[in-house]
Amino acid sequence: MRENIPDDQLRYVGKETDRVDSIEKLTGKARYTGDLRFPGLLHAAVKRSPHARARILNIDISAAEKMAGVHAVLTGKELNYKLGLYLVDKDVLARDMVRHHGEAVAAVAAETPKLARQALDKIKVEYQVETPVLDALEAMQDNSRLVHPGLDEYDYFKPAFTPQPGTNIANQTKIRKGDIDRGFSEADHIFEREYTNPNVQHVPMETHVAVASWKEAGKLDVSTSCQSPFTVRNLLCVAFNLSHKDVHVEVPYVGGGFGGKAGIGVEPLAACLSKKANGQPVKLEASREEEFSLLPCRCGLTYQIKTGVSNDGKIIAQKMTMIWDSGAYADYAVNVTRASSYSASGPYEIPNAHVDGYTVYTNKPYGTAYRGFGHVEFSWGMERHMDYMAERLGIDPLEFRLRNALKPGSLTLTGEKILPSTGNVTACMEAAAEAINYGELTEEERAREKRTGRKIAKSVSALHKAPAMPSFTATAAELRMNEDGSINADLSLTEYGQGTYTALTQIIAEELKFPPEKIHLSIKGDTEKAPYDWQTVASKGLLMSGNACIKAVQDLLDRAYNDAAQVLRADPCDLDHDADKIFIKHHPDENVSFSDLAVGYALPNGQGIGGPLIGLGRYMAQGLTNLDKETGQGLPALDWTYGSHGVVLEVDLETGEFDIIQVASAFDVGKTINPQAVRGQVIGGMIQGLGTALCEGYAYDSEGHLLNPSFTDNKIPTAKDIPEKIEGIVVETPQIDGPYGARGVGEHSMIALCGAIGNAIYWASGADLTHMPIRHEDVWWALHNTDKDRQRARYSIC
Amino acid sequence: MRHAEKNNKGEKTVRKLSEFLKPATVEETVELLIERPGKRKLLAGGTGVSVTDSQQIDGLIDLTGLELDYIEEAGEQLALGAVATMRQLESSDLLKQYAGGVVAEAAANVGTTPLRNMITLGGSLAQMRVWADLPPVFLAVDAEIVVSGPEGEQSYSAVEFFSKHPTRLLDKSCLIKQVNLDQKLADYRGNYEKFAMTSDAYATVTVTVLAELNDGIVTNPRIAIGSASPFPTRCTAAEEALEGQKFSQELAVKAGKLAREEVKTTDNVWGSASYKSKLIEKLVKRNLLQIAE
Repeated sequence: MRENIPDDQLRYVGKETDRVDSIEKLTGKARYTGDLRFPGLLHAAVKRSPHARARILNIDISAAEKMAGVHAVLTGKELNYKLGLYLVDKDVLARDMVRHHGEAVAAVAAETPKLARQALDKIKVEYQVETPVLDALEAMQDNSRLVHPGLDEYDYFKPAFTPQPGTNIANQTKIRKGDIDRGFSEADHIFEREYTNPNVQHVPMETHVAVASWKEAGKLDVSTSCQSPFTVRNLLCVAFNLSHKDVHVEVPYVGGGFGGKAGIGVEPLAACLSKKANGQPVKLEASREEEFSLLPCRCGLTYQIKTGVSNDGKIIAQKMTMIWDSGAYADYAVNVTRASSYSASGPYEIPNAHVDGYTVYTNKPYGTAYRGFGHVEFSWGMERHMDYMAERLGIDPLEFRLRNALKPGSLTLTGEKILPSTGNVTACMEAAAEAINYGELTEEERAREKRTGRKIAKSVSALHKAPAMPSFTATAAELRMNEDGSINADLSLTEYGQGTYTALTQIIAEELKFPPEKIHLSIKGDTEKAPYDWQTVASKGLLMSGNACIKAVQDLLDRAYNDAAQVLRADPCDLDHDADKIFIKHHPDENVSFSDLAVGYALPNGQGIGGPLIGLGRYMAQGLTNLDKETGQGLPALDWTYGSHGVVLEVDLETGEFDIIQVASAFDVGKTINPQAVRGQVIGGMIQGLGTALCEGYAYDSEGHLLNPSFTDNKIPTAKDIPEKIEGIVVETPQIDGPYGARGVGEHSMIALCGAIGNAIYWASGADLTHMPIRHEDVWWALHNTDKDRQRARYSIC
Repeated sequence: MRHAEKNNKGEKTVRKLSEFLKPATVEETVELLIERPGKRKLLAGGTGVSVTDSQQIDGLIDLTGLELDYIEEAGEQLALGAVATMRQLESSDLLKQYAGGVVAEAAANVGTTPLRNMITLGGSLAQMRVWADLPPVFLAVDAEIVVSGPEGEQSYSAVEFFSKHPTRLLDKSCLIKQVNLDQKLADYRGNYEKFAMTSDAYATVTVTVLAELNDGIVTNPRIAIGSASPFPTRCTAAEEALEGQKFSQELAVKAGKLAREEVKTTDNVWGSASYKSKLIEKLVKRNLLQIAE
């Protein structure tokens, strides 16, 4: 929508705009869930399993229950509720069996946090420890112990997922395109490798926190730090058999999510505790350590790729096997599997493709959505694989990418035809390559090599991602004009740092011709007051809510024009408006102000015309379909955002130490709505990408205990760890159904970065890495030791 | 690394606090410690106390009234008060000019700025964690550690002090009062380097090198390695190889190799023993080359 308006005709869209929420956040005025005050508030604490897998023989809560000030003590025994986004496999508290280290087995609500913790100490749990299933590949073997012996009894979302009862496979996604066998037989070269990723934690600044009040007659109020208020409401209603009208979810400011708050988290347990405490409000706030294993993480991945290529460097066939380690529960992992399966090749055309994506249960903390939704993980393997093949074919890796890139007329893995308006990954690669001076070292870089004794190399990677969402995803926006002609807007996208609310304010302003200062978009999410949105995930917010906002403005203006037509005794087709008034085009002095129309126009004699000016806009994904379960063919993608990273780095060949000198990233955003917000997403995501590329990841011991659940032992990069030079570049191929041509860029800056780093390290040093994260030590091992030599440190990230 | 199971118990802290004492002198502090042995804990910056999990301790002795936060010249020595923070150490002009700034540089590499505003010199030495940045530097400069206890003041050489954990070396009723640095080393060339996974991660390995260099001849070299093993190590064989020699690239390589042999490295989450050994070889060489520039 509005995708072809020249820049000079745009007032607010495309212009640098300060974030609408920055002052409140920077001055500490913004109120988060943890800041809210409730009379009679109780504090929850959670008893967690010290074992990865064990039978619960007995839980003695008698001593805890007797403590003064303790209002509720719960175990799984009395909570017969099942939870699950796509596959309903999780209890609120473990019943009979614990399936991962850190799983909740009992919980307490008491008058102070300290008292709650003391009560926890009094709860005695008897376990019968069992050997955990820790390796996803072993878990797929026929003789593996089952994490969920009752898989056949679970309900699941049947159009999209295929659990395999009697196994640990929670879902298998199949994609079949062309003729894979013929493709391989026609290929001149076959390349086959395996690439791996560990679990990673999202580490939002604000940990999960919810306050629940289970009132009389099945009414439930929840304030929570979440991404998706309506999904939280729906899952609570389904789990507890409550009516949607009776469950009220409000979401104040949220301090980051990154997918970790996409679904449901601590809300159900807080609600159960409140019910047990006779409706007193209960606050459950996760500690940083609880974030790592009470709450979910990014899935681990083993990615096996077999590719057939012709002598002239065209990929003919590719077989891709993705083994997603979902941990103890399926949560979003089944959909990560589905979405990454249909994108598995990266932005390259594969005429004959075969993808098997498996979601595999293990006895580890469970996997969920994480910025990139599987694409960061598989792009690591895919992008390393591209360079691995290019070297053996004797083709420059960038040239190899360009030869195989998706372009107009190409068919994706699911048979979707790429159009000129889909976006331009070639332009992204070319822009990134130019920014890093790909293909040669500058004089300055040569001098640096001489000075440091390190080797400098460059690489360019490419990426794509479409929103992973149901084909029928929907949203709505509501506008209300106030007495002074200003606008209050409501929608249920959660602003947890992306900057979308600022961009939507610009879109509303542009469409209304009002300055953004006249528009207030309520940051607080509220299922009783704001219209529905499915979830704030998948980089779909700007496109879908942007369209809903445009439609809401049209709706409001329709009403305003009709009312003004009566006031001015004119036909609406002869009217136009500016920021203050509606006027007759050929008699501009004949006008009526918005402030006079806002809540209904009053004639001088007291008679009224019209009514309060409101506008509603709905938007639903158009033309998408389910994927065929046997072939994976169909239309899953709302839009594809393409991108590319150019990386320059230097490696010390003796020790494997490396420094990233430059990252230049280009994305086809369709149309930049707010350059500041795009820059924020590009740099922020890139640095988060650096974290998972270089240092983050879960470490377990042989019994499945998580060893590094803290910022002490699981490091994330800080401002002092960023590359010397960072550049964000936009390519703008308008998205025809995007608002002003825009498409989302919330996740993409993380994707394929690690591949670019791994490739540049290889070209600089010869260190051939297939596991991320890449630590300096890993480079050293790869350079100076054989795998056999390596006694992987007990605490290695795996 | 802590085992996660321990983390399940919730906040770790001094659970039953019934006394908060703020003495004005060192002597008074020692008396308070003697009065109820094992029951009272010293509180300086608070970063250690905040992770102390103890059922025994019920009193805290605040050291901020002792005026031990000085960094000053005292005759032949630089005296560092035990309650001086890492931030003070890294910002001190006296320390920046002392032996190539190794003490200031080590302090600047501790944790993050908010932590450095809290962590004190004495607290850091008393806990002597594997990853502590200062012990190897003090070992390199032959610092003297002054401790006050029931028997009065006692001074330890760095070699003695860092040979075992302070809880095994010192009486329970002691406090670390001061660290003395020999001013004779002030003009030595020196370099400190920390190798860590991220800028605020605990060190995998730290290297401190010091030497005098006259007409290219190395005298009084000192090399100390931290974090690679439970206690910091002086590399005496490497130092001997350097002493009196004309500095060269080859000499630096040789010293690196010798230093590598001298440290019995151990595995931890920050690196394998073999990688740490490699880093020692390389970092010693690199830092020697840097001080010779």
